Amino acid sequence: MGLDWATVYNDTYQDLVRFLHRQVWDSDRAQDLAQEVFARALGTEPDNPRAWLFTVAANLARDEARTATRRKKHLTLLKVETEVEKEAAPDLSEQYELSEQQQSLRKALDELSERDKEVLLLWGAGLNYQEIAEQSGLSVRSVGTTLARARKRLVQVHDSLEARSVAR
Amino acid sequence: MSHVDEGTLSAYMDGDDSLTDADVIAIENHLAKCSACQELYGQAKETRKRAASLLEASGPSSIAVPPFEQIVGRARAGEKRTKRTRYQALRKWAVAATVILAVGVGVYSGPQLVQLGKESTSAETAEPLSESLVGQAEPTPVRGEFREAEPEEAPSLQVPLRDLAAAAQPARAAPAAEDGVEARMQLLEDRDDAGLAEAEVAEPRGRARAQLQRLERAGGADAVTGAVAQALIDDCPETRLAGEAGFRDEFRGAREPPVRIRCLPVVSVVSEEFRGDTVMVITQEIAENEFVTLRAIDIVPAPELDDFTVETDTLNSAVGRVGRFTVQVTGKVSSDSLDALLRLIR
Repeated sequence: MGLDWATVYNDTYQDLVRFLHRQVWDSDRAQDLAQEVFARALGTEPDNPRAWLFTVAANLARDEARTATRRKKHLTLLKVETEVEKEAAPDLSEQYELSEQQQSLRKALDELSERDKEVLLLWGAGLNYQEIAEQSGLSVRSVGTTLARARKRLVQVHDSLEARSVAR
Repeated sequence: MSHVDEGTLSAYMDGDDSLTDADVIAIENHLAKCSACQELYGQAKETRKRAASLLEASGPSSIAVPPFEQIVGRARAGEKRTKRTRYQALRKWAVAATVILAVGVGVYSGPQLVQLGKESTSAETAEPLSESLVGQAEPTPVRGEFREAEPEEAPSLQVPLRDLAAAAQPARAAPAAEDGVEARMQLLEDRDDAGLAEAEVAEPRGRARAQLQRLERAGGADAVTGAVAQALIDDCPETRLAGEAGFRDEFRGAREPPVRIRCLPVVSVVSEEFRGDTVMVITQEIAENEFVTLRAIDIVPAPELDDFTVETDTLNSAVGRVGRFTVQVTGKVSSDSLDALLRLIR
């Protein structure tokens, strides 16, 4: 019997959106990507659908982040173009959409290396070390070390940001 | 047992099945008698809890789950797109040959208009070349089934046939789009075609240099002057040319099929750091003041200095798809420029 994606979808969709949101920081985009992940999933039969979904989502988010960085750079290059102003505007409004809590988490996550962040977010999504290792290219043994470091750094940066904003 | 390292502690706290029962027993025995490790464990537990709650608290407050049917519909639309790209692979030669023929026809037919930017069914199915030409050069738009089903359609860019001939020369910019009209065009050329080889090497360099100077004035400080590169996206299935800002919506609704770029002069090459990854950003001008940017990631170094080719997987910025990307450097390049380019590639 085939995998019942409808059930998996109902159980996992919201988690997947949250997972993606921590990476793209835009609710609409996170939902769009989550739907894209499920659309790609249909017809496949992974052993662990949940891990499969988060792995594909992580890849999409990674591509997305690269595109976003490139776009910024591209905009710098083309700042004489009128289009630039139009494109830059939504970025700002996206920022305002985020709650203070989300903004400080975002800043804290941005302080992590790309790999540490990915490992941490996959851990947050409930993937086991083997699955995280496969996605991140680490050995299973290094997942624990990476996670310990990433969690520590996250908390540290977050706390120092909080302290700074209180001081102000 | 020696002290428990942080990684193992982490796996222990997470109850991860990478630890065997024997591992768990050993850890617990050690923790029972080692106060240093107990302290470490206590801190790690606290950090783990805090990290988890920080992540947990950050999600959007409410997320509506769209009906599953929506996903099914999206998956079907995706299959349709995939099929299209298979056809596009077949089109490769048809399109290349079409240019030659179109250029020939252009001599006789003067300023007759050619519809560009459409995905004509005739070309897509890679029918014999002569028929492809008819499909491309017909003054009235030939529309594919896919597009006809769509209620709205932005005006396609129309250019005189003689400009099409010009577009076939990589040395020349593609014709400018009118204001407000998205430039959607196929650059009808193919490096595989030997007939174009000479023109490719000679002129793009001058043009690229002019563009670079302009970009530098515009603030692109790290553009590499004189990087003579000819880039092509080979087998990159669909490439959206302009209007990246509105791209997401269009892609989602598949309002118009993305258009493919073949080969364009490179305007600038810059490197970019992204959290430890080095990526190369290549900007190409598709029309006056309209640029498309490609990102080559994980580029492999190419040590030969005289003439080298770099092939790598490329993420197309416009569509987020991975394709094959080639940078070829031919002809004489000043050592400074070459060094700069090689540095970027490395």
